[in-house]
Amino acid sequence: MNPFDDSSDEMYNNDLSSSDAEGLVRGDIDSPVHAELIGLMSEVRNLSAGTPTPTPGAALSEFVGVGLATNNIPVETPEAGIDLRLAPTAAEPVTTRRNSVFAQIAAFAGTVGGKVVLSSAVAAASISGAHATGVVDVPYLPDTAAEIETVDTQLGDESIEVADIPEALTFAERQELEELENPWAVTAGEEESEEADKAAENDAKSDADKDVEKVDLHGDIDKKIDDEKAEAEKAEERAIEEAEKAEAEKAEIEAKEAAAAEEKAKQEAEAKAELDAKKEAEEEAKDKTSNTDHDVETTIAQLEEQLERDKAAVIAAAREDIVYYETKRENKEASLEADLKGIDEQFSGYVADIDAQIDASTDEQEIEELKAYREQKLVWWEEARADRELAYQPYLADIDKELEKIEIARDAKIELLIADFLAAVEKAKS
Amino acid sequence: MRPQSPASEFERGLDAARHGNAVGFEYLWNRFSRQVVTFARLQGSEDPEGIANVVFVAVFGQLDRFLGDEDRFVAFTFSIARNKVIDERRARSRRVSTGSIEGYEAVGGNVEHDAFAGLSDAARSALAQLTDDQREILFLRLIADLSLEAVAHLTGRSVGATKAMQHRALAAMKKKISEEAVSK
Repeated sequence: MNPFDDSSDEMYNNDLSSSDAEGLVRGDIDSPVHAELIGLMSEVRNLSAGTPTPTPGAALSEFVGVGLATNNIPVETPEAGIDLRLAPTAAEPVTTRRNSVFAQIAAFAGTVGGKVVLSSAVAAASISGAHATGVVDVPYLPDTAAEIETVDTQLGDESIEVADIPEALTFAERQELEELENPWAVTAGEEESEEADKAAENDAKSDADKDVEKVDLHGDIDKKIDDEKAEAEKAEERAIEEAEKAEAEKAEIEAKEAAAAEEKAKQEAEAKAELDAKKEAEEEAKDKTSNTDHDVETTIAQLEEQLERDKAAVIAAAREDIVYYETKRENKEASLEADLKGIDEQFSGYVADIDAQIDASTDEQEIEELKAYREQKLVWWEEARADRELAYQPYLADIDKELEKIEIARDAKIELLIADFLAAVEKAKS
Repeated sequence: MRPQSPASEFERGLDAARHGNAVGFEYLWNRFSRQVVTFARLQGSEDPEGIANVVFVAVFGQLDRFLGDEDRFVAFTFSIARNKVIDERRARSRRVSTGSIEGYEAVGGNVEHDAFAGLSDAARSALAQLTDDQREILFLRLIADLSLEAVAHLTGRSVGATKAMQHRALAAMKKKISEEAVSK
């Protein structure tokens, strides 16, 4: 960059110090030197004050609207006319184990596997229930479940299937059993086996005994229902357990992924920080170099200007002295010229007189004497001129010496200024 | 620096917004949206109000993660605004690159022309000769009222480089003003 180029910004930087620049931007400087810039900064700074508040768009309105709907507590601020004294604290939702279990079920149900497991369990339970109650008939499913009945044997208590030992039951007991197995056909069965009923009346067992047994069998049905319920609950619990297990596995996988992502982010952040630090250091170094170069160039420019000014002052001062002595010399030379002219005129007068006397004389001897006299005057004339020139010579020589001294002194001063300048430049560069 | 409004006022507004209170959102919007619009417009955005909307949706969405005082909030908001303006500029350049030269002139010319609307001719000509980076630094300091350090951090430069750039911008503006005064 040429430091003497007035068009460069750096030349103007000399007029604008760093503190001035910062003050201009902050708006806390009031200098008439920078009046135009101050006005311009103020103009830009006040631009936003003249800008109307923009209209919130649909997305922002929706965003704010959600806040209004969920937490509509009036708040005021001094500026916006709203009171912020009642800034509320968001109520934390009550978290219970039940909610947690429901959440886990919901999470499990959200997965494909969960959907399959739960829907299969619900369908199986529904179809089994409908089949058991006779609402629908599912092929390949037995119409009667194998009953487990505890009977007294000589071998002690053991469980055997009732259907396997019909002979162990009385007729009434078998009827009761059929009634239980097919409750909708109970009446028809009764009608068809009216005779059997009568025969049964003759049975040695009393009605009371039969009632007791019937109550016991009903109790078994209730137990079955309870067992089914228990089984369903167990199935539900298993589903929940599976959901929890799946959730736990999922959480574990997510935790591993999160840890991996965190590690990756950490490594990236470290790499970025290292890169930023390096970049920062390079930029700092660059700025420092740039600022230093700029300062040196500025200093050299100032020194150059100072040198030019000093040189001009020295030359001007010498010029005055030179003019003085040159004038003096011209005056002396003019005086010499005048003196020589006087001698010439005087000689001419002498020659003219002698020549006139020669012309007027007829005496040869006198003429010869006049001619000899004229020769003497000629010698005088030459000697007179030489004497006069010689008389002026010292003055003129002195003047020449003075002029020479002035020029030498001037050149010496300029050389000294240049030497000082070069030394200052070297100092600035170092 | 920024005229400090009562600290509690900003904090209460911020706190209300953090809790989803619409009044808090309204307070922050009324307080800072005009600066964002002005900054976006001066930076050549075609849709300054749209930028402000996008910026504040992003700001409101991240309030729960924000920590700091008002200065930090402004820096946070304008860092988002700066990125959105840059994104819009990139999108515009992509559009232009697939379009015609006339399209480029229309977009660039109009945006540049409208960007300095509301400013005097002297200010326009002085700002127009600055580089984009110089203008950005000046606008962040003058419009957002951010400190030199905050601007340096926001633009990813060192404080020294930012200061030098700001100095050169002001010197160039002063030179331009002087030249125009001489020519008149």
